[in-house]
Amino acid sequence: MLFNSLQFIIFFPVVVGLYYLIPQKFRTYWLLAASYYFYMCWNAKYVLLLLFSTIVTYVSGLLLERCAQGEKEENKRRRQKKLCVAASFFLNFLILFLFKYLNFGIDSLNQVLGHLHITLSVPAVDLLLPVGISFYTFQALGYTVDVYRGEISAEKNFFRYALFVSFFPQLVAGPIERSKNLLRQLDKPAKPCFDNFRDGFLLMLWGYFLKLVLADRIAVFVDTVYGDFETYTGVYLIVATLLFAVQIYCDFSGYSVIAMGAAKILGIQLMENFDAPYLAASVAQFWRRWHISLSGWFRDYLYIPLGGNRKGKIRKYGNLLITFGVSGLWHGADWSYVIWGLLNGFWQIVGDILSPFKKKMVGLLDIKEGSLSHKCLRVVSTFFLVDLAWVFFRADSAFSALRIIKRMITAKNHWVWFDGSLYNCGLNQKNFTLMIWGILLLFAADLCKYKGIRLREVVAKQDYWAQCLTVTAAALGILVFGMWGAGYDAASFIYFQF
Amino acid sequence: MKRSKAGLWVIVMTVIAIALFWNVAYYLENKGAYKMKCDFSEVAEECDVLFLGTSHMLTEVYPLELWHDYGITSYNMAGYAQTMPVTYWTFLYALEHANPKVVVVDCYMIESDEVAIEDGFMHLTMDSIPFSKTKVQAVCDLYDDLDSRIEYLWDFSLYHDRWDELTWKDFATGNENARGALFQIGVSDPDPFVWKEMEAEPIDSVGVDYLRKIMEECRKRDIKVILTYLPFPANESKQKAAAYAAQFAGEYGVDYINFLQMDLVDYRIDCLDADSHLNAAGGHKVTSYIGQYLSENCGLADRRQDGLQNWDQDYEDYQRYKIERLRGQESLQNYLVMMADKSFSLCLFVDGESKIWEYEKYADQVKNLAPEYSFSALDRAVQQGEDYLLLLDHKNGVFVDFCGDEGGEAKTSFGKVVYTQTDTGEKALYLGESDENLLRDRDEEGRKLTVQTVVIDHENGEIVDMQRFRESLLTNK
Repeated sequence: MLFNSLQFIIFFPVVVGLYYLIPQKFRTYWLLAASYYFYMCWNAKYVLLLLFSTIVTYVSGLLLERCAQGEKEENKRRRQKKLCVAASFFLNFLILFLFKYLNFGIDSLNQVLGHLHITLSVPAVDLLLPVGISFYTFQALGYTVDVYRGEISAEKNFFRYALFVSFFPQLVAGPIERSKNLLRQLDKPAKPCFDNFRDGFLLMLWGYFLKLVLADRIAVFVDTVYGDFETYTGVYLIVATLLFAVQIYCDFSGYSVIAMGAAKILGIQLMENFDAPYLAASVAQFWRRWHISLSGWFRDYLYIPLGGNRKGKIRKYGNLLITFGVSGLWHGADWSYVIWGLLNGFWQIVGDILSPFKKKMVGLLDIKEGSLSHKCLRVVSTFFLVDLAWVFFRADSAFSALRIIKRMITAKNHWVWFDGSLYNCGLNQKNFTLMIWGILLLFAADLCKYKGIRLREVVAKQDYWAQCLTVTAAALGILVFGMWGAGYDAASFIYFQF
Repeated sequence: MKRSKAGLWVIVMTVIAIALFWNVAYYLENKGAYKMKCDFSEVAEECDVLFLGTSHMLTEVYPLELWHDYGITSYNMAGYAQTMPVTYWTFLYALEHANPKVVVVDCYMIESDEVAIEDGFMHLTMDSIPFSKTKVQAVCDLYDDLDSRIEYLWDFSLYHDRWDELTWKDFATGNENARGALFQIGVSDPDPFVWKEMEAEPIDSVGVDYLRKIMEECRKRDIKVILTYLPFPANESKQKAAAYAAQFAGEYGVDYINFLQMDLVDYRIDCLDADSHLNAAGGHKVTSYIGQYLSENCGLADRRQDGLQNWDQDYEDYQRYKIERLRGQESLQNYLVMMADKSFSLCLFVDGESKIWEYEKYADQVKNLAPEYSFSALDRAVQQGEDYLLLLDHKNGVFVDFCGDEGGEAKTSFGKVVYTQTDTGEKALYLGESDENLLRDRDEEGRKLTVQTVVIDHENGEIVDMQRFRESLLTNK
């Protein structure tokens, strides 16, 4: 069930209505049932994987707590705890590997064998990728580690824990919630509250704006050009690549914001997943603002355990490459994703190495570090690096990505910026103009966020009529200008595939 | 207190939002269908006759002409690619508003098992039906999938992205009051057509099933049914269907008019496309025939004295609409199609130097302006390459044509018409008391003019249009 489907438009009000109507003690069960139904709408059989991951991590939590409380000696306790964590990780990653990476592994193996002229072809396995498997697996494993570290106590109520893993607003595309934040809130179901409803509704509208008005409109252009990149050259590919950066941001942050809004209406505060990432002044900063829940997960459960930046420069750079390489693999079972991840790690390493040189240059050229122009330069150069990496993310393969970059650089068709040719790539002039205005609105909203201005709070401070008018106008705008309805294939959110 | 105020505002704004949404949805809607049938509910109660069927019926039977010529009040409920199931549901919707004495159903597609054809056409029909229980039932019957049902019951889901196509017409309030009918203008060479008498073979189709439902509904309501098979260059399978329709009509004991076996239309000049539709010239003939048939066989009263003022008014609007269409034509061929309409009188002049007669359809189209007369002067003009003038006054039944140096005058409903030669040997045409020669030898840029027309509304004697065609641009003025 997609957030931008009719099913969800019916499903959600029913869930919310009944959630607040039934006695408080039944609300967890109701939300759990709704969450499982939500997941089963996609593929009923694969709910067993969700259940399996839930049971494994639930049991591992209980065992970890039992190990911690036993009267065994410290070393033995630690060993048993590590065994529990290892078992939980092994079982979860096994499922993840089987359903997401097995064919990638087979394909890679076949390629290696082919290069070695060994005529042994391992057949691929016909398995459908379970939607959201990377998200709920990581969320559940995060819980295991949190219990292991003693940051939270194990959840005794299985149903509440199952709800933590399967909470429908963020089940299939995040944010990957931390047990400390979400489990505690699930413990105390909220009462209906006008402010929560208003905030949640505003968030959902903003999310739908990002997805339906911007992401899906931009997708038409990007898909047209990238789908036939051997025909399009130069400016077309540059514009498509610039737009893809916006598309994936709107698509993914749109989902996260709708998830936050839906949860807020249910009285649950999910973590912010994006914080004006394209206003970041370095690639490292970008990753602190982009997909915050995943970046945080890798930081806390991979990068720091690997040694982080505590073991010298070389180890730090190695850890960065490992973390971003794995992050790339998390995003998709293809080498182009790995390259995308590694590139992001590489930019940071280069940035770190060049840092003293950059400081020297700033001093030599008498550049004011806090000046707007300097900030803009850093933001633009960061965007350029991040966007270059996105080419590998969007292209069909690493080879295609290289071809696209080459065709971007070598072709000289700068007149395309001015002669209206861009209106022939799936979006007519009016739609193209609307898209540009939408992007400007997004930029303004992100700038406000960057400056600490919370637009929702600005709206909340207005009179009720103004609040209602804002909501009405926004809803109407999305209904008219959104890409939905007959003739429109409810496009999945890009991050669903992960 | 704070909460109740907030709740109040939410309610107020929800109402405003719905009102806003309603308006936005209206402006975004594709008005094609809506404007064609939007006056139905206003006049439905006055309608004695309903026409049902596909685009054949839609484009060939003009209710306002039936009103003007026979005093019959009717509405054309037909639509593009309307299968019999869609026709059935359209009929049920019509019965919610109308209480007709006669229903004329065209049997084209009676043999079809298709329920709904092509979304674009379906929207033209379904969008014109307001949301109602019948519409819900219709959509649920015609479509199995939820997406289609939503699309037809809530067409905003389809039209919301028309914001980039909006023109001033979407905000204009005027409607095309042709009582549901539509003109089609153009001439095509038809597919070969010969009517073959054949034995009817039984047909078991969805179309037949739904036609039976229409028959049952009419029987229940004591409505007289006339089945038709409107004219077009039908292939053998369609002729078989027409033959079966006769058998079907016999089974129910209702009238059946099979136009395929008549010589009412001349397919060479009355066809819009090769294998399907008639143009407006053909449509006028069909309308006239049906009007005559209804008057003589259905006991329908002439209602022109019943004080139905909006019908007269709408007929005047309809005439204006036709005049606009006439003025908008850019080829002589299409212009002749529009002039083949007895509500217009006309003068047509063809210069003797013109080569238009080399294309024999032009001569036939000129004869088609008044098929009941003999065009002897035209035949001579064609043979001898002489100037030709036709004067046609449908109101008073005046028909005069001149060839070569002939000339003269005639009394018409719009005054005296004089056709003569000037001292310089040029041809001159004078209407009424005016001494202005309406004919020109050359246009403003000095180019030779070969065909000139004067179209007159004989109800008020006004010239409604004058066109001058150059030889080189006979098909593109």
